[in-house]
Amino acid sequence: MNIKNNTIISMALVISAISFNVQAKGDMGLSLGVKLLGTNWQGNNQQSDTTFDTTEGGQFGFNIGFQKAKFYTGLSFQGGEYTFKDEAPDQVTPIGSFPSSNVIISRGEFDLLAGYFFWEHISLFVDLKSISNTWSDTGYQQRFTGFGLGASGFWPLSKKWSLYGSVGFVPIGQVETSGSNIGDGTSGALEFGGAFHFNQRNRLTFGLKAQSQTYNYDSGDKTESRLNGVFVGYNHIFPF
Amino acid sequence: MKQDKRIDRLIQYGLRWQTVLLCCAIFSSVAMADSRGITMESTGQADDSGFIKGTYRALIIGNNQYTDPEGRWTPLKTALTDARAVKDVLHKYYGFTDIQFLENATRRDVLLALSDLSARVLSNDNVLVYYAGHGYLDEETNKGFWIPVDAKGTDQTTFLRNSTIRDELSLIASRSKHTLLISDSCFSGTLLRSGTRSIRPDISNDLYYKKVANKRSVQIMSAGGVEYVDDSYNTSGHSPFTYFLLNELKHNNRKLITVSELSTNVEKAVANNVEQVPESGVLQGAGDELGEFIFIKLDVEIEGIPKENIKVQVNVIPKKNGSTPKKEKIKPENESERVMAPMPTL
Repeated sequence: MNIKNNTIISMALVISAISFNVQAKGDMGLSLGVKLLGTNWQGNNQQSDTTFDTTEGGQFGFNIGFQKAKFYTGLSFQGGEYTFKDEAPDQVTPIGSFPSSNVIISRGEFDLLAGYFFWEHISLFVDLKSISNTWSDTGYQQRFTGFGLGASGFWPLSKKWSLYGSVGFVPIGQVETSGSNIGDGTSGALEFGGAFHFNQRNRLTFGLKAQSQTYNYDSGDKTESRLNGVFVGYNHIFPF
Repeated sequence: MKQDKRIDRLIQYGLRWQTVLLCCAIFSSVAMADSRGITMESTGQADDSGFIKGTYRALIIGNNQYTDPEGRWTPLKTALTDARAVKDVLHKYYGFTDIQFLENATRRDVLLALSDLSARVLSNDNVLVYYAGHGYLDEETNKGFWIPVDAKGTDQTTFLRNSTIRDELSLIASRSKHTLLISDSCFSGTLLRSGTRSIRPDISNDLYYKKVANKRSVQIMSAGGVEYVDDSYNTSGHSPFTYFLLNELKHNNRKLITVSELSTNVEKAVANNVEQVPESGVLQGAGDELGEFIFIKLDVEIEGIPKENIKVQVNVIPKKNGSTPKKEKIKPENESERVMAPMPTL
């Protein structure tokens, strides 16, 4: 069973769940949102013994979520560019690692998730995570894909304000380039913030997000990345 | 190769978990029909026949904006519209002069309002309480509840038990002449399970009205029995029950109409149009003496009461420390009040 099949099956499950729930009358909502992240990407390459740090970077994303009572599912896509004036993450291929510097890396992140509020304010979720990076100088592409588990919390403070946060990790994922598996890796994320509800249909979110990835390549190289930053988002909710 | 197998295994485990979660969500997502509750009360002027004395007072509660973090109590669409319409009709057509209007009331709000109402009623007053909002029946204990906007999931301590409502109404009834509860919510019929009646006057004349007006009454009109009731009737913007209640009150062309007469008409109209049968009766053990709450329509018969002299009084519930709570903004009726949790990402 390859990743593509998994993705198709997961999407089919989510879509079927949504289809089922849409037929039911009651407490459902659909949200559409955008998110802007200002993040710093830093880390180190084991093989080339270098550290890297962005001079500028950020991402813009959109998301669609569906919630039926305690169940929710959603898709999120975000992308952006990170400029490395000096060292950058190595470009690791099946034939070896190549140091990289003074480059812009385009990054895209995709999440397909489904969760359930097992407790009043806390949910558990599973997430199909995909991260793709493309180096501007050579066009080298790298993709990380894996299933993750996480927990999220949501605490309404008042009718206008609420706090929320999430933590989760992908225990193991596949790292590939040009269709070739070049290693495996892990990914984790911690997000914490607040939400201001203009009304029940419109919400502004903001907070801090910390993300880390460790890629262990079959070649023996290893790259550790940390992306920390702030985000602000806006969601519009459609009840039905 | 070994790594690939390990990844595949993990992926398969992930998929299984995802499948289990999705299945759980599917099977646990019991569709709850939108339900609502409206409570309305009015206070009025003495009519010119002289046998109806006292003030017409009302406590009106409309709950749309449920904020249940567990998502069990979803926002309603028409409860506030209904409550406002009832308030307007009582004031405009029936001269209620003391109307306390609660929108999106918490449990505390309702209890304080009932307590406040019981503190200011006088012995000849006519008191109407109207509730529109969610209702709930615990099938194991057969206990009914009103659901305030701050209710949390299945935590019944955050609900308003029928027995509590009955106690508060009994206190009000003991201090007033006529008390009427109109409850437009699911399972509102549980409020009158312990004894119902429906009085049909054989002779609708002044003698009859005088007779029932002089006897104490504690009556209930409910949107349904032990059943779910609809939140919206066609495109009226009202629930079926309140739609026909308003219709009767607005188009009634008689000077005096008793609750029994009104409820009979409303029950027929509702039952003929939707799969829902309203009920009416008395609040047992609250001192009902087979009297009748009587609505007096201003435009039809009452002369000499200039409308400009009738004012709606909105009472603000004082907090214990004496500070004045914030008045909630009135939101558009079609505005969603759902609280969706932000979607996490990894």
